[in-house]
Amino acid sequence: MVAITVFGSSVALGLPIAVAFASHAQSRAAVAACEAVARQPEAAGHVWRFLMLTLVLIESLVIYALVAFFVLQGLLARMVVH
Amino acid sequence: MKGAEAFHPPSVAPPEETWFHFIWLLTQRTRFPIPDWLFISWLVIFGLVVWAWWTKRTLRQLEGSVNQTIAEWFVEAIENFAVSIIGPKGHIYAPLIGTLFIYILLLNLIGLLPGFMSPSSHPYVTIGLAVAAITSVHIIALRELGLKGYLMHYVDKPLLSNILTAWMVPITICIHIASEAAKVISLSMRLFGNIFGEDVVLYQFALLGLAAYGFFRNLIGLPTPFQMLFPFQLPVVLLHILIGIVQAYVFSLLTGVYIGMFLQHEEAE
Repeated sequence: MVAITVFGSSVALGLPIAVAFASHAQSRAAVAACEAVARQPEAAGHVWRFLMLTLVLIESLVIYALVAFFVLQGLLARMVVH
Repeated sequence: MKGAEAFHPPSVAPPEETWFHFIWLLTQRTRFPIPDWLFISWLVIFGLVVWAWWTKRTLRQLEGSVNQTIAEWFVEAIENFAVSIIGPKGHIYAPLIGTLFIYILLLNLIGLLPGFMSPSSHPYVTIGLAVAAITSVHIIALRELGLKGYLMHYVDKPLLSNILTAWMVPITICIHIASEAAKVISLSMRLFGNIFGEDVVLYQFALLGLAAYGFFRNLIGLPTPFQMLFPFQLPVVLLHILIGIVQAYVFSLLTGVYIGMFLQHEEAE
């Protein structure tokens, strides 16, 4: 029972931790992009593409956490059944 | 605890039943039952093919129609986009990127029509799209670089020049192979997660509106025609349109970036 509780709470907490740090990183990228556009509005197109690429690469790390979450959720369900 | 069913709450996802559910029921007994998402993605493909064929048939050099103007604008925008990501060779790969963009855009947005669903909120569709995109990236790399250049991509060439770093080569091969697998996973899961999550939010907000209607009906006796008096999902619909466009853009951008990553080797040599 203790093992299930510990495993279950760590499964539940893993994704939110990843999301918290990734959203912090994404907000910093967005802040930098906004400052760059405010300083040089003519570079908005280039900044937009780099911002998108950065956000996507940060987001993909969260997606790995999501995949791991699905895998661990399956393990948890099997653990509960046994 | 008897079973996993007791542990799982009822699903929050919207039901996957559309107006085309009868096809699934009709084809139950055949060897190849057709689910709703598959049929809707076929509808999108059919519509795109018919549109492209009709636009090509009605092409004119002077006094083109509005449809022709839209198509020309789209083709030109995609070519500029591809050239800006991949480089001077980008216009060769513009058809691939543009097809992915417009197909995924329509897959995302068709779920907003009543009686339809977004096929890209089903993981099989997005995994298939990601596998197709990454496979075409590798075929393009093989064609452009040749077999030797393609294999040298997996071995980082600067490492080979020094005896002190040459031992790292097996590690970099493993890392490159793992990153190719991770590309497929992240491309498919990003599209699936965004569209599926947005669908769930839409569905739950619509249910919230229905619950509010029920509350006020019990309070002051609202008649039945006011069932949709509280369309809480409308702001989320706008967000869904935005996210559908952004995800289609991101998918085609990443496909272009992956092609560009392979072709950079050629320019460096």
